[in-house]
Amino acid sequence: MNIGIEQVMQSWGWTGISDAQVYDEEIAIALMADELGYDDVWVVEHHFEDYSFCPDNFVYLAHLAGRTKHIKLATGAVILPWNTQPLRVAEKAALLDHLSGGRAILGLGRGLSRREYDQFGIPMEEARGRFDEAAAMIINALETGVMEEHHGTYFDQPRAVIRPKPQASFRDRLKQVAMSPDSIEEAALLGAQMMQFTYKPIETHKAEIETYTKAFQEHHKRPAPLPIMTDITVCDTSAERAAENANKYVRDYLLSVMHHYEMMGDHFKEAKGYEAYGDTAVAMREMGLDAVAEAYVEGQVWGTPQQMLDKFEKRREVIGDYDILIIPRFAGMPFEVAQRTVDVFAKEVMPELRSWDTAKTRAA
Amino acid sequence: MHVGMASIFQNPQNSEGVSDYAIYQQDMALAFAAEKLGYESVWGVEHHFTDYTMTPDPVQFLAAVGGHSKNIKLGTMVVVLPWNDPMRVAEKISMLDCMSDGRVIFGIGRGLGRVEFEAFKVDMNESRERFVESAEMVLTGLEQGYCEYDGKFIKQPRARIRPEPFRSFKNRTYAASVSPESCALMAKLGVGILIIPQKPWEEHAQDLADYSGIFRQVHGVDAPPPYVAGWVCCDTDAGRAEEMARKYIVGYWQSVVKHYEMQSSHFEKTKGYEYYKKLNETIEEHGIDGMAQFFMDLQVWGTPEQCYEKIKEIHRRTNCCGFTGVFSYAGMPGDVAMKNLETFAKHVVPELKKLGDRPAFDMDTDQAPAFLRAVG
Repeated sequence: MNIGIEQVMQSWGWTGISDAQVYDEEIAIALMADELGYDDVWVVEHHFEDYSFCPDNFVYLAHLAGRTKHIKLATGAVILPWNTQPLRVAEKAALLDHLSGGRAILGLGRGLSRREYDQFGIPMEEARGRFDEAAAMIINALETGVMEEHHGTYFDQPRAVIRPKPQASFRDRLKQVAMSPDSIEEAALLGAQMMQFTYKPIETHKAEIETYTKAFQEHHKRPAPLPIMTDITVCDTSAERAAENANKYVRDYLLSVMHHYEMMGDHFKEAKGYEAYGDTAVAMREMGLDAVAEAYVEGQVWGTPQQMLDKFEKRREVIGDYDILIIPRFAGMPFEVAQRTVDVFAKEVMPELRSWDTAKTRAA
Repeated sequence: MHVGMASIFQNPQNSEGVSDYAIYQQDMALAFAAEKLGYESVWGVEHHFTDYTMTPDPVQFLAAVGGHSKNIKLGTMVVVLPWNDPMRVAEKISMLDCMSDGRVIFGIGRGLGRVEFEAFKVDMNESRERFVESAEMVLTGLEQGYCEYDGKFIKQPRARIRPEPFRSFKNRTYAASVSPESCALMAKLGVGILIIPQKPWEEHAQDLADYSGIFRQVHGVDAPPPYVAGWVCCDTDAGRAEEMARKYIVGYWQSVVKHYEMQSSHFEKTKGYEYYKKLNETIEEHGIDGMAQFFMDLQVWGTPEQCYEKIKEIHRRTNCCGFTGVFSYAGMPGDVAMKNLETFAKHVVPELKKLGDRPAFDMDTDQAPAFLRAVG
C-alpha cells in the first residue's frame, strides 16, 4: 500500500499568520514525512487566496528535492487549464525528475474554483476542453521527449524538444484528481491512477471506482491501479483530543472549501463540464450547511491510531483495496496538532497498514 | 565584490551518448557545492529545446539549490519574460523568495534565440514591447502585492501574488542587456544591468555611461553598479589553463553561434534585434575562428593570479559590484569542472571579495515592499 501526505498550503482559518509561516510549517511537515518513511508528498496548485497558495507546485517540489533524500514528489495536482503553456508543464515535470534523482510524480487536475478561473481570465466552461487537449500533449511529450506539432482548439504548438530529456517514463507515475463522472472517464482513458478526496457517501465512491476500473481495463487491456483516497486527518493518541480537534478543524476546513469553490452556488449547472457539481450543490442546499458539515467530518478518517485503522478497514470492506493520502495541516490548527498527526500516524498507523495484504492493481 | 557561480547544463555530447541526466548529476553537484566553497550566489539561466542550456525553468532549479543551502543567494540570469506568463513569473519569484528567506536576485531579459521564440509561438518582433509590458506588470506587482495590467499584449485581471512578497525587489532586480537600446530601456525601468560580455569592453563602458545618465535623469538617484558574468577556466598551471580555455571557452562560443544562429541574416529583419546585424558583420569580417579568439579573450582564464587580474581589469572598466563565473560547459568532464570551481574558490574568490564595493542587495537596508510599508 502506498501512503503519502497531501499539502494544501492554507492560511484560511489562522489569525495573523504570514504566508512565509505557512510555508515554513508545510516544509517542516514535508521534511518530517521524508524522515518518517511516507512514500510521497503531494502538493496542490492554487492561486491568489487564503484558501491555498502554491502557484507553481513544481517549484515547491524542487525545493523539497534539494532538502530530502527518499520521498517521492507529486504535483497534487497541476491544474492544466490554468497553465496556458502545456509545453512548460512537460518541461517542468522532466526538470523536477532530474533535480530529484527520478522522484517526480505527475498528478493532473482541471480546477474547480470560479474565483481562480476569473482571476486568470480563463473561461471556466473551457476547462474540460483545455484539460483534455493539454493532458494528451504533455503525456505524449514526456513519453517521447518531443512535444509534437499540434493545432487544436486551445493550443497551437510547433514541434519542440523537451530538454532535459525525460529520463524515465511517467506512464506508471501519472495521477489524476477525478471527482466528477467525466474526469473519472478521462483518468481511465489517460491511464492515470485516480485520486479522490473522500467527501461523498462511500457507496458513491464505490460506484465511481468501479466505473474507473472498468473503463481503465477497457482502454488499456490491463488491470487498473488502485484508487487513491485522500482524507483530511487528525491523528492523536488521545481519543478525546482527536475528536475535539477534528470537530473543529475538519469542519472549518469544509467551510473553507464551501467558500472557495462556492459549493452551494448555482453557477456550476451553467458551467460546461461541471454539471455534476450543480447537482451536488442542490443536494447540499437541501441538507443545509450544518448537516453537510456533520456528514463531512464523519466521512473523514481521523481519531486514535486504532480508530483510524478501523475506519480504513471498514472502508476497505466496501470499496476494496486503495492507496492512502492524508492531509495533516489545515484550517487554523496549531502547528503541533499537524505535527502530532504526521508523527503518530507514521509510528502507529502506517506499520499496520503496510502489513495489510493489499493488491497493487484491481481487476474490473 | 560579490562572487557567484552559474550552472548552465550544456550537453553538446548528447549525440555521443552523454545523457541529459548525467549532465544534471554533474552540474547539480557543482551548484550544491557552491555555498561550502565560499560562493555567495548560484545563478540559473532560462533556455529551451536544445543542448545549449537545458534549464527551462531557472526558478525551479534555484528552488532545489535553495532547499539544499542556507545562505547563498539565488539569481536568475535570466527569466525570459516574453516566453512566460508574467503573472506566473511574479508568483514563482515570490514563492522562491518565501522558501529561501529572501535570497532571490531577480534577473530578467527578453530573449534572443529564434528557435525558442518559434516554439513558444511568440513573434520575435514583439519581444521588446512584450518585455516592457511584462516587466512593468511583474516589478510593480512585486512591490504592491498584486498584478493588474491592460496592455497591448499583456492582459491580467487584478490578482494577488501569494505567497505574498515580503521584501522589496527594488535593489535586487537586474536585466541582461547587450544592445545600447536595451540599456536605455533598463535605465527607464530602474533595474540594474547584468553584463554578459560579448563585445569590446569600451562598448560596454559606453552603454553603461548612457544607462547611468538616463537612470539618474528618470529616477533622480544614481544607478546601481552593474553585475558581470563570464566563463572561467582556472588552473594553477598556466599552460593547462590555456589549453582548457581553447577547448571549452571556444567550444562554448561555438554553441552560442549555433544556438543563436549568429551567422544567419534573420536579425536584420527582426524588430528590436537590428543591433545583432552588427555582430553578423563582425563575424563575417573576422571569421568564426577570429571571433572565437576575441570571445575567449573577453572571458576569465589562466592561473588564479591571471584570473584575478582579468576580473580586476573588468572591474576597472565597469565598476561592477559582482562577478558570476560559469565553470562547467561545452562538454567539460565533471572532475575538470569541479576542480575549476574549487581552484577559483580557493585562490581567487577571497581576493575578489576584497575588491571594490558590495552590491546593494547585500546590504541590510532592504525594505519591505511598498504595500507592507503602507500598512505599517
